[in-house]
Amino acid sequence: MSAVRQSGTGVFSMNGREWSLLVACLLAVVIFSVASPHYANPGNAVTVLRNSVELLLIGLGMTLLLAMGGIDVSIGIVMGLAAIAIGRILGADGSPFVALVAGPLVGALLGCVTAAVVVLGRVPAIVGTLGLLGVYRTAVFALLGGQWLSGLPSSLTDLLATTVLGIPVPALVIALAYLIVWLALRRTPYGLHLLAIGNSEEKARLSGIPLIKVRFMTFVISGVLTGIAATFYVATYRNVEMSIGSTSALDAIAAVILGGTSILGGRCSLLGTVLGVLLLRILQNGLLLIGVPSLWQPVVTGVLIIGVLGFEAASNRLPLTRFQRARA
Amino acid sequence: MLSQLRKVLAASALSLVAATAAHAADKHKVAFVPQLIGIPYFNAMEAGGNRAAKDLGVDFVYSGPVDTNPVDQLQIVQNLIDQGVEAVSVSVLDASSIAPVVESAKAKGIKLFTSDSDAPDSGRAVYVAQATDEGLGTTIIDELVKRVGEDATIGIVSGEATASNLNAWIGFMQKEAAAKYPKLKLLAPQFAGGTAERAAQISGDLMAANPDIKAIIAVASSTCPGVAQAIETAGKIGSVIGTGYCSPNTARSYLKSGAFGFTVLWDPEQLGYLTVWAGKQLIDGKSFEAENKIAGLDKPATYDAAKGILLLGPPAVFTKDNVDKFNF
Amino acid sequence: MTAPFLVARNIAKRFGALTALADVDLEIRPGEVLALLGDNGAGKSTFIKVLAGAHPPSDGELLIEGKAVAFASPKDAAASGIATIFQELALSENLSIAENVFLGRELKRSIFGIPFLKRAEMRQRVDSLLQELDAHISDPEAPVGSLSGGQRQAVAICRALNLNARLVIMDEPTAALAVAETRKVLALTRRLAGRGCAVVLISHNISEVFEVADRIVVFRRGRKVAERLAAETNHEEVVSLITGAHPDVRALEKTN
Repeated sequence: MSAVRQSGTGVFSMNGREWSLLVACLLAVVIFSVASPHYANPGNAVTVLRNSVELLLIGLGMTLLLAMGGIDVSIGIVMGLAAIAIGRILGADGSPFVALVAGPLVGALLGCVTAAVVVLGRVPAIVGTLGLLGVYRTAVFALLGGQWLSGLPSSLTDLLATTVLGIPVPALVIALAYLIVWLALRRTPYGLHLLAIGNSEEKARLSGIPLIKVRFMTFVISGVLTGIAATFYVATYRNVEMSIGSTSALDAIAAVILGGTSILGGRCSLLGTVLGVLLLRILQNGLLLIGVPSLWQPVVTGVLIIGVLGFEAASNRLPLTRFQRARA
Repeated sequence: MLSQLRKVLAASALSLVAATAAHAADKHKVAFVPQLIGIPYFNAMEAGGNRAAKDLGVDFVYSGPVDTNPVDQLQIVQNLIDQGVEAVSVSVLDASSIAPVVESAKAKGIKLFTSDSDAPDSGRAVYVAQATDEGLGTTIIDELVKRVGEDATIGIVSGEATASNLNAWIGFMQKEAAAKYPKLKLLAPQFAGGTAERAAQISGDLMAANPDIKAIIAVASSTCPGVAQAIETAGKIGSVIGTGYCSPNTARSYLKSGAFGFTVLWDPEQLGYLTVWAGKQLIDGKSFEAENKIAGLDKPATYDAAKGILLLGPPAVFTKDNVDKFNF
Repeated sequence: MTAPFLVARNIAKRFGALTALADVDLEIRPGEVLALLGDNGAGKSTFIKVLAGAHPPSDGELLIEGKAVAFASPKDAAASGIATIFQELALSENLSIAENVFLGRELKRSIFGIPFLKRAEMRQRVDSLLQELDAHISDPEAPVGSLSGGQRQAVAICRALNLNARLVIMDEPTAALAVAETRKVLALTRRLAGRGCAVVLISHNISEVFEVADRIVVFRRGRKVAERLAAETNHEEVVSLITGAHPDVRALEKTN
């Protein structure tokens, strides 16, 4: 527990980790711009942001889950199932507006299922969601029957490609989602309860916090955000493949941890999650543009996470400051 | 829990097989065990097998795992052997573990052979091959050069870097390009894993990094939709041709939109037919000719006695003109 | 003498075959600090858990202001005005003082049906509580995890007061504290009683108990073996009561 201070005082106030990530992002952009003539242009910036949308939404939900001392390793496949629902609606030439509702709805329903298993069933989150991962995967297989949904109509794509007041819809949705999650976390009793549970479930219980309600709600919120992510996925790729979302959960967890949220719960940073996702996507895009084979990209991500967490662990082993001693 | 479910499903599938097998005990029986049941590719092989069974007067048994699990597959093969099915063909999931099963088949005088996916050192009777790695690699390059000319930059997007068949195809592409088209520039292969999301991101980045790129090859079928979508999103239809080893169902809309110029694969229906024909030959104790004219197939099947490979013929090329004739 | 706030009659607690508590009769009065003493395993902790609603008693009854009550959970006990400050302090180290003090009972306003925290008001109330208790904390926004042990006790007491507790149970509040901090917490305890609260204090430190308690109750082997006014007993007698060397205790234990 090195950076105990929460980034809670304002929407844009930043802590040490968040500054480091911002600097890392900017540094990466500068290096890539120098290294590749094709890097620094508006088109590529849009590509990077566009590639971040789904992971940002899933990451916000994952931040809440980790902050609560929970986790959901099945969340990528939840996106897959929501995407199938959306894809089926579009494939049957259904209204894109119906498709728009279907994603969050399926996400919320599956969030309820996950919550029922983990919260009501009192199964540890890692175990429960690992089990559900298998179940959901099989469900994806059964629903698709080996037949991808591909070449879906572009009605939803066109709907989400519009701008409102000059702002692209995806950016608007991300900003709104961030604001809502931030408010819930830092300005409502729910957020306090969630952080208290993440700190210690037993103490939270003794404080009279409605444990079940808070934990249930968090899984549902994460599900809804993932459902929205599915909507963007289908709109962008117009395709639902069997392996959809297979890497999303781990990517999201990586970004969230990179952002400074404790995997042990009780401490989180939404801004850190956003910067963590952006850093991952900037690296993925930039490395390819400067000619590093994509084969090496997971290595870069892995080294980054180990490096950041290792640095923090190492700095915790340094002699305690007075402040830290007082808490020890 | 999942593997439990899988076993139950596999077992029920087997009992069904046993029941149908018992019905027509007088005819010769040829079985085919796919890697996975319920997907269009193997459904097409099953259809071809059924057509051959009718033409040749044998019973065709089709049974396989519900998930690509090598252990389940071996169990199904072993069960078919125990039931006394006279010829059993397998699309092998794990080449290293099938040898003991081949032994037990031999001990009972049952012909065990491979089809679609081989286990070369297992002692199998014959391998019924859809197309050679070389044929697939060279065909896609030759077809591309017909469309974009020799003086072109071409990107390669593969799936998992560990997939040996995909790597073999890439190897033959590179060999063909070096041997026949010295001016052709094949970019280093990129690996997208299994998701359309990542394939699209990589394709987008490839086009950004290489403004002169003329074509992108989707090596893994899971990367086909991503490559096509990226070309559509980038507005490069007409200036960049997508292609790959993609089934007609996956590629249909992209072939029609122009994002894909053509795709290369084989016809699994014909492969299923050839598999059952080969099984009948083995049961009858007849040997294969160097070239086998078979009434139910479009082209003669060639036999390589040294390697023990019965080859369906050169790969098929699907374009917007013929794609609607296929359903897999 | 004021009427008792809480009366315990024949309280017993059994865990399977094990009897942790038997036949405990006790009265707790407002404005009074009552100390519970006893060796480890004497039943003090079990007793306060019964009072706090964490354990339902196997036998006996609890009366609050003359009315029988039954607690199904700590929440019920809290609703009846009983607050417990556990030894391990049920504070969330990652939350601020105000957040801890109000945790589970936040002040909120509803905007479009969504409850939002009234952060400024919560902060004000906590500031005035801290002032009342004469507890000085330099950075009230700091997470509780960064406070000293004594400061945390002050936060826990604030929390109890804020719940309008009429009875505050303190489980070894000074166990992990340095001398100066211990003084402060004992002073806090007296001030709490001065506000008309009933205070039940568990401690192992007998001189501390004499400094702060009005009445002393000794537990031994799951029973209440003695009750003395602090002014009418002394250190030696209390020790002999705890160890069982006192004639009263020996007489009692023979009859059982």
